[in-house]
Parts: sequence; structure tokens; C-alpha cells
Amino acid sequence: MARERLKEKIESALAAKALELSGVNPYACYQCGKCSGGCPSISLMDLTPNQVIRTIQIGDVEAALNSNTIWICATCFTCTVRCPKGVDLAKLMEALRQIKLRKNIDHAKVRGIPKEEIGVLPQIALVSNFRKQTA
Amino acid sequence: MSNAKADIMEIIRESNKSVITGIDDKDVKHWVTIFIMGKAYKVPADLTIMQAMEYAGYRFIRGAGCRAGFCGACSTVYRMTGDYKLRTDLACQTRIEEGMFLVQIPFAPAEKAIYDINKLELNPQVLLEYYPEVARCVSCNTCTKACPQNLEVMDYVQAALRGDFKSLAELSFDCIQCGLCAIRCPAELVHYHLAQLGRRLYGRFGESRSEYLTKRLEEIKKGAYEEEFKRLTKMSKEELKELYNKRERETG
Repeated sequence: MARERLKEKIESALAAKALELSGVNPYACYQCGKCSGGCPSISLMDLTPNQVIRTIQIGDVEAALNSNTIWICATCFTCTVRCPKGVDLAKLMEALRQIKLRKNIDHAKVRGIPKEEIGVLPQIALVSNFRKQTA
Repeated sequence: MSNAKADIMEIIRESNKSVITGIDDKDVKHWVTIFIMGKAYKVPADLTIMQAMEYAGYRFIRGAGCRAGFCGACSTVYRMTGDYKLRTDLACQTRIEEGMFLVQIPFAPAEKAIYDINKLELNPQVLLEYYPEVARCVSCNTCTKACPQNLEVMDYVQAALRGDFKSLAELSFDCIQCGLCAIRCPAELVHYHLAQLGRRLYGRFGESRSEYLTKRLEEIKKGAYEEEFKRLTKMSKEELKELYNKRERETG
């Protein structure tokens, strides 16, 4: 029964979508941890990169989606290069971000930024903020 | 003429009021101000957009149907005061809020391809033949965000381009053809007609035919149930009721 439930979770729509978007096979990962060992931003992450893969392997995609890891990841490809199994973790991170970004939810209030701050903020900061924080 | 028109509007407005709210205006505790095509109206809170517009005196000749969120006739576009976001919804399914700027979209202008499904085949090229503009999709995801049914519209358009008929059919299955995706699309696609063609092709050629259905149809043709039907049609209402209550039920 527990096994069936696990299977159901793994085949959940969310996991399937992450795989479809990235084309990455997370089951190739044998959890050696080399990705996390090389990650330059790991000290800021709540899930380590190998844990992100693990959540997908056990079908708990929500945990990966709700982690700050996917947003801390700067797509430097160190993990991808170090992986002995050729799992493109950077691609998978992008897929997870896309799943979040494609929802019609604004995480930042465009009109909520004080006028004096908008005046001094570099335009590119606003552009990247809205790309990431607004639907 | 204008006077007579005003009188009609007033009569509709008055007759709508009690029907919509069910109570007298003086008993309404909470009021909100909404803007219908730029004009402000004070209406009781808790109404749907459609009810609020009728309360304000509008009469729906087009752009209204089942009033239950299934027919897709009452597409609405609105903005909230102090918010940049252009929102889309069904007027019969959305509650009004203070400071809504509303307009109804009674029809999404779209051409629907005419085809004989039996002369087509399950081939992605067919979709492109009838709706070549689907190749203009830039994957901006605006359609998905516009969909009041929360469908993954962009995903099914991409499935169509890949020739993945199964995904196209399944992802678009709950589409109510309201047309909001087509109204918002910067590539000017008509997603819902494309999806319908995809579903039809998949239903006709993709899914295997149910052998049980064929078998049952043959049985019916041969008259296997004639006597049973005769027995039923001769029964009284009471007998039918009792039979219905005692019917075999699927459990679990």
C-alpha cells in the first residue's frame, strides 16, 4: 500500500511536469553529493542541491518548489559539470522555477514600491524583480 | 424615444433588484462601488459580477447563459483600483469587489474551421492545416493566466505543436470555450477551436474503440432489451419509484 502511494506520488502531475520541462532523468542520480559539494551558494540554501533531486525521486516535488534553493541557484552549472551521472541539475532547477513562475501569482506589489525608491533603483533591478516576482 | 428607453431600463432595474438580492434595499447592510464601462454604480456587496450588472440596470441579451460556470458565455475583463493587472473571469462565477472596473466580452471574435472529421487523420499537420497560426505561439503563457478554468493552455498549445494529441486532449478537456485565451493572446491564436479539433481527432482516431459498446449496440439492435423496456413503460410511477430505490448499486 505504502509502495503504491509512493508510486502515485512519483507519477504525480507535478513531477511529470518537472521532468517534461527539463528532460532530466532524476532517477539516474545515486546521491553521491558532488553537486552539493561544489555548489558555491550552498550556505544560503535550505535544501542542498542533492536534496532537491531526492525530493523529486521520492515524489515530493512540493518540497523542492517551496525551498529557497531554486531561487538561490544562479545556474552556474558547477553541479551539472561535476555530476558523474550526467544529471543536468541546473536544467532541473530552471524547470522548478518555471513551474512556480507560470502561476498567476504576484509575489511583489508593483504599485507598492515607494516613489522615491523607484527613482533611485536601477532599471534592470526592477526588470529582474518583476520577471521573477510577478506573473 | 430616449424617455421610453430610460423607462424600460428603470423597469428592468427595479424588477431585477428584488430577484437578485432577495431582500429590500433598505435591509442591505454592505454596499460597494464598482465601475461598469467607466460609470460608477453603488451595488450591494456579495453579488456576482453578472448580478451586479443586472442590479445596475443592464440586461443581458448576449454574454449570458447557464449562470453556473459551465457555458462560457460571460467572459469578463476587469481591473482593480490601484492594481496594474488585467484580470479575466466568468461574470457569473466572480464576486464583485470594491473598486472593480468591469466590461463584458459578449463574444470572442474567432473563425472556426469547417472540416469533415472522417476525412482527416491523426496527424499534427492537420492542426497546422486548419490553424497554421498556432506556429506563431511564443510561449508567453498569457493564455494560461487568462483561463478561468485554470487550464494549462500554453502547455496544450505546445502539445499540439509536438503532435502530442493525448496531452492536448487531456489538458484541454475542461475547456468551456469562453474565448478569454484567444482575446489575450499576443500571437492571435484561437486556442479553444484548435483544442476542439485536437480532441475530436483524438476521440475519432486516437483512442481505441470500446468493444463493450459495440457489443451492447449489437444487442440493442437485435432487440435483446425490448421486453424489459415494455415491462418498464407499463409500470406505474409508484412501481417505478420502488424499482429505482431497490436497484443494484455499485459500492466502494
